[in-house]
Amino acid sequence: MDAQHANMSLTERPLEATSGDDGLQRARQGDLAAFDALMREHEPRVFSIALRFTGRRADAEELAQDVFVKLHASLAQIADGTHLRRWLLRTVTHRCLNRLRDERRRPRLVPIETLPADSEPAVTESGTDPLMGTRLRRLLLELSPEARAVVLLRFQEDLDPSDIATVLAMSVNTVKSHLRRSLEWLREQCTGEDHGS
Amino acid sequence: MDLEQHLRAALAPCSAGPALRAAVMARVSASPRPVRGKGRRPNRSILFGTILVVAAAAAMLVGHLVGKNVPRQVAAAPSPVPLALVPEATVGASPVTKPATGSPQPLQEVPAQIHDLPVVKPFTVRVMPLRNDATNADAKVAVESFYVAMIDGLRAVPGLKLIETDPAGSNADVKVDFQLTMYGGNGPAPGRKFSVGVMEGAKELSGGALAGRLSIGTDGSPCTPANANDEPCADPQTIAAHVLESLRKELFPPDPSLQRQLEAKLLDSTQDPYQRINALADLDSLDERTTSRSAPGADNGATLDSAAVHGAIDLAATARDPAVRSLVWYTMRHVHDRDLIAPLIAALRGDASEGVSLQALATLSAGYAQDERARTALEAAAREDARPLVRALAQRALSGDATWKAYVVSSLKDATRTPAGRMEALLYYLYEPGPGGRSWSMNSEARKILDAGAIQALAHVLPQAVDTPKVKLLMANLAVDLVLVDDPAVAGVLLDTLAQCTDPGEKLAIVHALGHRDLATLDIDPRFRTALEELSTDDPDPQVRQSAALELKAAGRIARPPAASNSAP
Repeated sequence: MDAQHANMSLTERPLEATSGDDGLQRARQGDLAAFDALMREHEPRVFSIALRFTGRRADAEELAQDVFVKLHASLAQIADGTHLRRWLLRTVTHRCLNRLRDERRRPRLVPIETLPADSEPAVTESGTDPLMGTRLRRLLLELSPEARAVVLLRFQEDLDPSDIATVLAMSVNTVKSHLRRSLEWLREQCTGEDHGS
Repeated sequence: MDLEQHLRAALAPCSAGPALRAAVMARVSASPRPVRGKGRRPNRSILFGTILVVAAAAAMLVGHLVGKNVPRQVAAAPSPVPLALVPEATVGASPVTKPATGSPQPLQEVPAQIHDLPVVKPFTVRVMPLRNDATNADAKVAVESFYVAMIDGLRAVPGLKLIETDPAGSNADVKVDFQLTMYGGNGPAPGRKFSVGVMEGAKELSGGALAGRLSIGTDGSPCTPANANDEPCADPQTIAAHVLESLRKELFPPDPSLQRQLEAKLLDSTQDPYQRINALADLDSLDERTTSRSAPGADNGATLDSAAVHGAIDLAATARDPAVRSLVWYTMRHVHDRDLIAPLIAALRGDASEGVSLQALATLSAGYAQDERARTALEAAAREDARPLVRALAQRALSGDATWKAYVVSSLKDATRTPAGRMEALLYYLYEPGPGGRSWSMNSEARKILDAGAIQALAHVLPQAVDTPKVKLLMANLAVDLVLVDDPAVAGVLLDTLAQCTDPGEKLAIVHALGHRDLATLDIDPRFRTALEELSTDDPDPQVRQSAALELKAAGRIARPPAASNSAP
């Protein structure tokens, strides 16, 4: 486990840029290879959020695709790598939230797939428990969509609460409240299952 | 290890694999950019903190001023949205068949009951000092004119309290809901006179601090929308009016006067149908922003008022362009109003365009399958409609997906059908627009339903069907979707598709897809490698050459340097 992650607290931390502005500039100018490179860099981030959010690989692929197609159409509006990352996170989380709202509004025509075991990579870091990982990902799907988004942005993307607040258009206090309650609930669930097993 | 560490480990990013990127490349390469009013998704989500970037140019100015005297183009670029909206040869030439039953009521008979949005809550907007980077006199004046027009327009927005700051930073600490920065400069390219833009800078968070500053630049992209109807791009004042309208629609709290304007435009049968469909889409967006469609008790979907619904029905009954009619029924998928049932049934039965009928069928089955009239119509369509796809989809609405999937596969294998007929259901299955507005989507489940026999059939029929407009349009997508199917017949599909491609974008998409196949596949089928090598040296398009070379290089299998044979045959 990354020591930096292990010691991280909920403090303010700037959103870091991840993409070279040069590549972004070339992508803006229509260089598809540069755009592909941007996708290469950001696809795991976008796809993972969609996958953990929906729990369905097909939906996650579709959402991620839509996000990148939208990105391609919006490249002229992206200022730099920092903005690009923020834009992607904002877009994918909002699309996920909208998708879930749509699903709640009317039944799906297509049967809902369950999250296949091979959708997630095997956890290889030392000291981690693959069973715990699977359990947590399943529990995550039981959180409310908003809480799920907060937890994903916090623990997958390492965003601090103020950045999460910006991405999700929530107040910082709401973000912290979601985080606190979600962690308490997850802890209870994991403890309960441990006891039961 | 504590819970937070477990969470970070469990949520380590994972990749979807190469197919996703390849599919995106196919879409961005092969599909036209959306044209407002034609290809726009009616349910477009307005992202929080929408950024508007507008650039204008002298060339466009001249063009638009001239264009004002020219009738607007009616024919437009192919719609990138649902398959059912793929332009047809009869676009603009096929008036809607008058419905046999349930004709829409004339607009005059519709009670003008405006379901007003809540009164707009006062909100504050801080405008930062203008950033005018123009160095030539004309551009400097144009940017200043834009700024002045924006300020005047903002002052007139209901509920908006404007807070201006000066370079010294006055009012910089006042809490606001939105912060805008207007900027501009010289034209971004030769022949372009000036560029302007607006940044939405910040959203006040209840925590107190301003956060989420977004610094957005413009690189000279054309006005939005960038089509033949771009009068808003004509001059700084008109650009400002256009930007202001977008801010009101997409960023500021919705206000009833805007809703009334849009509704009036939708109801005005003398308006251009594209203006009317835009108004309908904007009303739907406003509705989406105003109502909590997922809130308890809101299960009936959108709450467009009766007047708007009847305006939509009238538009569908009068628009000559099937794409407009399709978009109406597509947008209405968000709305639950029983007045829609009769016109939907009429469109299902009698619209001259199959695409429109399919959209109507999808909306009917999504929202009203339990209604007796709708069910009867679906049963009749499933039994006796002359169009096989309509019959099959009506049956799906009645019986569920299993029957439909079986039909997709069996029709593909059915040698008694024409090649296009064999492909029809598969393409609809792969790229069917869903309730969330999806289209052109990679549907990984499709790879699951295509058994070996279906793949063989596809490989056989694709070359024969490639002249069909829908197949041609979606060919690259199809190839990319199938690229990871582990069946030798797929190699034939991919190579055939590549051979048929003339569009560099489509070629690029397939090149990326081929590059993403694993090395073992390249070894097994050297035709892929040969194809990439040929493209890397011989293709007339430099991007295709470069991408093919990169893919080969990435695989560590480049046979000869591209430069060595650049001078080819």
